[in-house]
Amino acid sequence: MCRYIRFKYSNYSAIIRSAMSGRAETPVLVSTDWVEKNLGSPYVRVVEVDYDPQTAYFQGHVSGAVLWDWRKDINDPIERNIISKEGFESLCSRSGISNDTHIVLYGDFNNWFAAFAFWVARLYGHDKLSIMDGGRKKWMIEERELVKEIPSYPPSSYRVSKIRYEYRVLLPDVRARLGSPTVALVDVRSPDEYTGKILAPPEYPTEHAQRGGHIPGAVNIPWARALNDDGTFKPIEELRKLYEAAGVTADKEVITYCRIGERSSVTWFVLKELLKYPKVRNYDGSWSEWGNVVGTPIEK
Amino acid sequence: MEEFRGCLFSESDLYFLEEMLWLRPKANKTLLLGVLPITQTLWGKITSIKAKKPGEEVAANRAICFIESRRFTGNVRAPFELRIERINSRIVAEPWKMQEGPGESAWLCEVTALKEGYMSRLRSWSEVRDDVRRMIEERGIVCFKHVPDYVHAAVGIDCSQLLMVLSDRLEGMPEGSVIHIVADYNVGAEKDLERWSQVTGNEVLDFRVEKRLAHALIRRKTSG
Repeated sequence: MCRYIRFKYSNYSAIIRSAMSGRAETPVLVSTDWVEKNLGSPYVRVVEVDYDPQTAYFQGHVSGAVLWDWRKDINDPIERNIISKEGFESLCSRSGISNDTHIVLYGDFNNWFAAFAFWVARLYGHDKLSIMDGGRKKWMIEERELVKEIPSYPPSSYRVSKIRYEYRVLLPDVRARLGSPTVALVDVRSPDEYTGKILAPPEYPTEHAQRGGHIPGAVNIPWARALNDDGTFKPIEELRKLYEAAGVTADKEVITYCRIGERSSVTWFVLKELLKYPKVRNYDGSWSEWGNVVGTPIEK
Repeated sequence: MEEFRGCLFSESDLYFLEEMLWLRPKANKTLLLGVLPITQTLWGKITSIKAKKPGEEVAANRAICFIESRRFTGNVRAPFELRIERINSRIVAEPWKMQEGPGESAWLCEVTALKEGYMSRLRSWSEVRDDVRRMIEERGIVCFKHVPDYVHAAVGIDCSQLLMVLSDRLEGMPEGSVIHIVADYNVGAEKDLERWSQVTGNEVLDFRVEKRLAHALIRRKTSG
């Protein structure tokens, strides 16, 4: 049975102890219980990643958690791009995170942006990395303590030693793979976005594209189908069936996309980190790029 | 009832502003409890409520229910130690109805205080009136009889552009859903909007001018 199942459903303290001592791989998913028990651990840095910190982090957060603002901290301040290698080093350093710190990410909007930060941190080679299952929502449903104090940690000297370029795909590479039987494109948006009935979710009108529809050959598996009502991930076998039934199998090179790359990070996390598919890449340009570029082919 | 910028408040209710609650004492010594209509602006439309069950006892500052709205996810906490007697299933099914105003049926739950002295935690309308009015002014709060699904700030663009933006926005919304548009006010805006409504079939539910800003509430037409 895989590590995720053991960790989620059994007594996992021994696994964590071994992870902390470097003898085992850090689990990619930790429970709210685990986070509460490890608050204050010098080995662990809890990070809240929010789309809207004013209605989330600043209203109360997990004790000791630092804030990563998705817009300001995870994205390049000028061009449309993820944060640079130097930017990621600076972000971790000012968060008091060193290269062997276990980063635990959680956030608002069903962990969309925590998953995006996870993907970026993995891309920049950070190994000790977890998502808190259920995120901010589950923590609040369980009425665990929230505090408003902003923590401060001594800055570290974080250095990126490797970049996993293979976790990301850009538009030309997606275009080059169109029609390939060994590639599975997963569109994780809502069915109305996938069919082109709407150009963007009504809640995010500024992120719409000039054209509606989907990348030719993509299957539609909305991100939310991987989650339970409380925001936690579904059991591993259920997840496996969900994707395999749509032809998204481990033998293929899988590309996930959505509108701006945050919802597709959730699905990337499921396929790459929970199901351990070997080749999964997030297309963060997503529909807000593909649906706006002149001459890109579209299916409806 | 007293009204500020469309938000209704009952002079006979009690208030716990820390959690945006009104409470209404009943003859049997229970209290009905609901959230204030100003949450329309502060939280956006409430889309789901997970309330605790009747019979459950809740300590002061612990959650009565978990709320998810367009801009807010969190617990509404008990102002004092209480027992939940009844949950309003109509509000659980359509939680945004609670934000339309403190009407007879807009309560979320009926509770009994478990300790004496709970009244000291609550304030009367005359005690909170100035605080509420100040909050409404400072935070630009407006309330409508229909809680909007979406809000669009279109300040700084002229009227003809506004109608184009509005049409684009409505195109991306589900049929029958409601949008609150905020724009610079100019004379004739209401009539322009009425004409646009007649041409397009989208319904103007409300139009109000507050501090030189026009607030329009528009329902997207349904094809049926």
